[in-house]
Amino acid sequence: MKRILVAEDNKLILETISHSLNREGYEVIKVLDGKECLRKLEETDFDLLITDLYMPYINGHQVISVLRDERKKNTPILVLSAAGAEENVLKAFDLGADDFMVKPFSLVELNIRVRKLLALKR
Amino acid sequence: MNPIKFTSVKLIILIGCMSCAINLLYTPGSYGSTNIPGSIAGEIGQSIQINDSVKQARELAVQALKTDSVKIIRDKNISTTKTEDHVKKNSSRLNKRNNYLFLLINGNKNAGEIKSDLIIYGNKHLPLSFRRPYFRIIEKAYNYPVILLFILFIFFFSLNILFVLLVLYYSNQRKNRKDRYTRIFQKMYEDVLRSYLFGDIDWEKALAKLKKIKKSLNRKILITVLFNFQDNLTGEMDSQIVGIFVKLNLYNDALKSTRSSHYYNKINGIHELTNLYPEVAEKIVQQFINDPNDLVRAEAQTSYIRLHPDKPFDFFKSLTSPFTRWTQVSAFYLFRLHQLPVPSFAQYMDSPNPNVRNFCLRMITYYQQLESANEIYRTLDNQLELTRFLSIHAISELRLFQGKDLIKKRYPFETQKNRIEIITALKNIGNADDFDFLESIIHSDSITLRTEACRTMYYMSSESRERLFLLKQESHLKIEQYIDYITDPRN
Repeated sequence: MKRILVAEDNKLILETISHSLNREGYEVIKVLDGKECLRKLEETDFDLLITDLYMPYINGHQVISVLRDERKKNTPILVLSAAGAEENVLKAFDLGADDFMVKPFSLVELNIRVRKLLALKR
Repeated sequence: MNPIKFTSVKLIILIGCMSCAINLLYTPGSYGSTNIPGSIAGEIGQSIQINDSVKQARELAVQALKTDSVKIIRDKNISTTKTEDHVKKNSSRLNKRNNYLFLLINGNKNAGEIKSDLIIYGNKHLPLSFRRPYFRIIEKAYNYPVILLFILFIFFFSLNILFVLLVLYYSNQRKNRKDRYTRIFQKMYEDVLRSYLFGDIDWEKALAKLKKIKKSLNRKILITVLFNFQDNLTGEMDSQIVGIFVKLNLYNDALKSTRSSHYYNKINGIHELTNLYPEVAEKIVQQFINDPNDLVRAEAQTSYIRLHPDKPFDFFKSLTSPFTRWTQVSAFYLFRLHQLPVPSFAQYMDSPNPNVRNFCLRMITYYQQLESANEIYRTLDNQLELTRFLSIHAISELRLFQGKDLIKKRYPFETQKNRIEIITALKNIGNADDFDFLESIIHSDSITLRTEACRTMYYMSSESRERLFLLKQESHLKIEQYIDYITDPRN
């Protein structure tokens, strides 16, 4: 079973994404902030990281940067954020994100993108 | 710290303070036990109190207290001079200690003198209406021992603090209880609605699981959850969320809010309807477009833009209230965010509302609506300086060369700000025909206008720059200095 780490500070969205991905047959690990996200990434290997940009303690850009700089260079990263301004998107891609979705988003679209990213990794 | 324990500690401190004050009051020689007007006499009286054998002196002191004068003691011939000497010795020793604070504040002045000084001050400096209570306070202060007033003050102050602490404690408890309640129900509603949105349960089952939804607070929580879903999710779920809002009759709550006398309820109502039940909102929003409250009006106007993507600014036709600058910014932001089709803003240029006309001029300039040229020329004669300024600016930015002669004709009648804008506009739309006009400005007295004219001539074209350099020959114009100034990147 594929393991996906979801970092999102909005509990409702976190639970909804998790529910949706569980139904698709993925194992989902949920975290509410950037610090916890980095800790989980250190502890375990994941097949995909879905992260928000604005989170407490450490933001999404920093998470991407650390993940790409230190280790697990192959873990695909999907950014899911309401901050869809051009500079945010470009910065995320520049740091090493593989995909970007702007909120509000469609869960169907999210599932398709997740499937694609996991296939690319394989 | 536990609030109850804290309160009891405060009570103990209060009792301690009161007992200390009472001790002070009954301590022989305490300054607080004397009346201020007869303070000196009182002090003598106290010293006599120590020496029990001298009753006559004490009587004199009491008399002095009543008449507010020390002189009585001095005027009376006391036969027992020995006793008097003894009393004086004692009193001077005690006075040294007891009067220290009094002397520190007041120097050598008699208490009666302070009273009269205070009254004179009141008569001189205070308004008539304040004088009466002011004199009453002075009288009271002189009739009661200060320490008693001080104790009363401490007592009421402590009572006040106690009351505030109790209010804080209970309001905090109430808030915590409400927060806990909200958290529990929010989580429950989120879970139920998520299950329903994902099709895990049907509507009947979901409805049975949505507990206490008849309560006003619970309905508010439910609306918050729906908002949260709608803010983050699109697609099929979006329409399902609107369906839930309608099925639970939550729109009635929103409608009720719009009828509230409180502006924030109205705003909430408009916001909820716009996002969750646009069909009803369309009918409601129009009536708040000219609301006397700025915030309600702004919410209604931005809602209108969201609800009418095909004609987002049609409310201008009925807008008679001000269209505030920050609402203009919000409207522009919304308009761009939702990528709505740009209407022709010239159609609203006949609006009697100057805010609308100015906004339209800005939008015409931003979206480069060249077809609105005639409407722009018409506003050059407007009474408002800002409207004329925006019109000149539009002519410049849209490169409307036909408008050049119009703005040049207006130049002598314009304000300084608009004159500068006309000169600046020539930088974009000027040519060799305008050199004489600009030269005449360079020969004028205003340094600002001369600077702008030099700038325009310098940057308009190579010909104009040459013409400007020719003016260097006229040494009194000091053209070199102006050129240095305008070519400096800091300017």
